[in-house]
Amino acid sequence: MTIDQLNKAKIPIVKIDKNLEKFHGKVLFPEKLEEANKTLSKVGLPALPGGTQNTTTAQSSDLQKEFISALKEE
Amino acid sequence: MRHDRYEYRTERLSLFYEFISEGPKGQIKKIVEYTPATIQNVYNLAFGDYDEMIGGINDKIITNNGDSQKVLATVASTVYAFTGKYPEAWIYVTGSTVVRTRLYRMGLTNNLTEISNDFYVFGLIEDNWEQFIVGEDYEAFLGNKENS
Repeated sequence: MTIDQLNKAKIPIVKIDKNLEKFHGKVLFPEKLEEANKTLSKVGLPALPGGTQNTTTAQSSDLQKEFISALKEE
Repeated sequence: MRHDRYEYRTERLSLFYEFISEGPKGQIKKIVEYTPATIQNVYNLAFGDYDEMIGGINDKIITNNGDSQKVLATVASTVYAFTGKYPEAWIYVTGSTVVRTRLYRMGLTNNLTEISNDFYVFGLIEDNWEQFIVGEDYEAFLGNKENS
């Protein structure tokens, strides 16, 4: 990606800190995540404006566990 | 957001961000976390004070370091960083209290022109999502990056 493209994309350039990898596999806000999942399971996601199809589909909690498990393996 | 923000760091997966809040209460380490929710491509955004003593987040205390706008601007910047890496992601956020949710709503309102250029923003009210409208008392927020 060129600098011009980066500027247009508004993606910040962020330093990587390996020390933060200590959080991999952890959920620091479990209560908030639980609340989020509870709400989302009830209300779902909105349709995007302009007729854009929302291709996100509901998955079981196994996906989340798999994600966290994958992080632990790294 | 155009507001002044803190410098922050992340790790290679861009799920965790860290920055230092500076104010009358001193230097306070803040952590921003994006956690996958049970719905695919949806991530819960949460942030709080990192407590070295417990090695985790202490979200029960109210720090009040006099820099809430700068903290919000910093967190908003991490949304751009995160969605730069995960452009299909939906970001879900709500406050741990009604007051904090209102604070986030104010932050969105104050920066809506810029944010809406880049993201679709929705607010949750009475179990329904609607496109964010200024003045509505939403319970939670959801954002998705607009395709360029």
